[in-house]
Formats: sequence, structure tokens, C-alpha cells
Amino acid sequence: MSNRLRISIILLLLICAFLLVRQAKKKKVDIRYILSWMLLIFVLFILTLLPNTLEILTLALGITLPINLLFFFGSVLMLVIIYSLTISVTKLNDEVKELAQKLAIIEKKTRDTTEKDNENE
Amino acid sequence: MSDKLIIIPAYNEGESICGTISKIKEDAPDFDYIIINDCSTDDTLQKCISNGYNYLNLPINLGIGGAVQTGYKYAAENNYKIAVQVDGDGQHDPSFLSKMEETLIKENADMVIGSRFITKEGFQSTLARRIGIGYFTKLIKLFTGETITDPTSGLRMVGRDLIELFAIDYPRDYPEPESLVKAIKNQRKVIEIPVIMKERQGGQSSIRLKKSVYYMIKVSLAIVLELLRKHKSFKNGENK
Repeated sequence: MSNRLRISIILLLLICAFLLVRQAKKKKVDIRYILSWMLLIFVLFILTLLPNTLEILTLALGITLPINLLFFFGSVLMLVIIYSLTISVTKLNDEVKELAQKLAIIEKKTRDTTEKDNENE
Repeated sequence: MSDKLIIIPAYNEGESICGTISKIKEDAPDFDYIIINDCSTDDTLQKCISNGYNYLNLPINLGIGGAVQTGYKYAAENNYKIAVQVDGDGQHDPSFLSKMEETLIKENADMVIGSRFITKEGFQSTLARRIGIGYFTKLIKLFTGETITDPTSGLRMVGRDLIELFAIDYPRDYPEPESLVKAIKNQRKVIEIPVIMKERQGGQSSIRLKKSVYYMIKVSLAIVLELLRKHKSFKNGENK
């Protein structure tokens, strides 16, 4: 892998990491999801930084070009992140349904109480 | 109604909740209390209803951070000047509350933490937990210069300023170390006093060992982020 490519990737990853930390600082992203994105950036960073590791893994996995290994690992990690987001969305959906249902029941209780108060006047 | 509130987060503490409340009524009668039932699946809610306890019933499970923050919101809304967390499982001894209050007022502190590890009496938790706690003590010392011997202690008392701060912003998981750093970074005075805690009387802890490493990484990262945030600096004498 050419040094120019390596430096470009590392720079890009550093920029991404910086932007990520900035968003986390402003509380725009939940800390629980930050970890997975940080892991992705970290893995790609290490692979790009250590030249031998990248070459060895590329050969071991039967891939032709090292850059393709970065694509592959990046994609796999992204799929993991997307899947965990799917699980989170499912949970949120469930919770919203639960809240809506309980809210409806409480609303009736309040309505019945006000109606009873109005009758007693 | 008093101006001091005990916040009791409770998830499946049906076995110990009655004991905890009677101890509170006996040892700290000058405090109001509110049980936060975090959508328990056991008979915690039934015990609260049948004994006429003061409680808030969360419609979905929020976890310890969310439940405790609900207590802080309640404290803020009802104009309490002092709020203290006491676990629903009987580990915390309400007889220490008056000493904590005394320290808070006398030392003009914003937060008083009951630490197990100053005099090292009573239940000292498991070795694994102690290693984790030691790690956080060192991390907090490194980043803030403050030595807090029991940064994960749930037995903590705060004044009005922190009640309002926590009501708006409080971590969801494993909230104690992060909120502690937040308090320190906001120039709040934090003091520890030695307390004795008991072993859990019944039920289960909500923190499992296998998740502990994940939590430690996550909380460390959260603490670092908290350090990076801008904090209001209060001049001497302001807002007290």
C-alpha cells in the first residue's frame, strides 16, 4: 500500500474521530453508540498504521489488495453497528407503544375523576 | 412536609423494601422519602400500595440512572433543598443521614458521599468490584486532582444546585462516577464521610459481572468526555 494512500486514510480517520468526539461532547450522540464507532475507527487506524499487520492479514485472507481488506473490515463493522441500531430501534418502538398505552389509561382515570368532581358540584 | 428528600430507586426489591422504609422512618423521620419503582416485575409495587408508601411508578424500565434522575426531577419540582439517595435493597443505613446532612451544611458542601473505604468497616463489596472501584478512584484523581475513595457509592447527598443540575442531566448507566466528575468539574465541593454498609438483604443487583468490563470502558470514556465539556465557573460566594 503506497505511503500516500496510507497517510490520506490516517488523516481521514483522525478527522472522523475528532468530529465524533465533538458530537459526543455536545451530547448529540449517546455514549453507548459512540463506543462502536470509535472501535471501527480504531480498528481501521491500527490496520493502516502497522504496515506488516495489513500485509499479513491480506495474504492470510486470500485478498489481493490491502485496501480491499480495509473495505471489508470496515463494511463488516458497519453491518454490526447497523444491526445493533436495529435492535435499539425495536426496543424504542416497544417502549413508545408501552408509554402510549399507559398514557391512554391514565388519561381516562383523570377524565373520570374530573367528571366525578363536576357532578358533585 | 420537610425540605429534605430521600430518593429510593427500586427494581424488584419486594423482599427488602418494607425493611428499608421502616428503618428510614425510624432513623431519619425528619426526611421525606420517595420510592421510584422502575417498572418492577415482582411485588414491589403491591408492597408500596398496600403499605401506603410514597412512590412514583415508572411506566417503562429506565435503569438506575433514569430512576434516580426521576427522583431528582421530583425533588427539583417540589422545592427540596437537600436530596439523598438510599438504595432500596437495605445496603445503606439511614442512621448516617443526619451526619451527612450535618457535614453538608457545616462544610458548605454541595455533595456528601458515604464511603465504605475510609475506615474500611462493614461490607466491603467483592474483590472484583473493589478493583473496579480502585480503578475509578485513580482515574478521577488523575483527571480532577480530587481523591474520592468510593466513587461508585450510591449513598450520596446533594444540595439544591446539584438537585437542579442532575434533574436536567444525569447518566443512564452506572451513573455514579460520571455524575461525580460532572459535579467536580462544575466547581462543586464534594466531601466524603465514612459509613458502614450492609450486604444486600434480598433480590438481585442490577449490575452483572460479565458486563463490568464493558461498563468500565464506557464510563471511562464518558468521564473523559465530561472533562472536555465547557463548564460554568462559579466565582466564590455565587450561587450558594
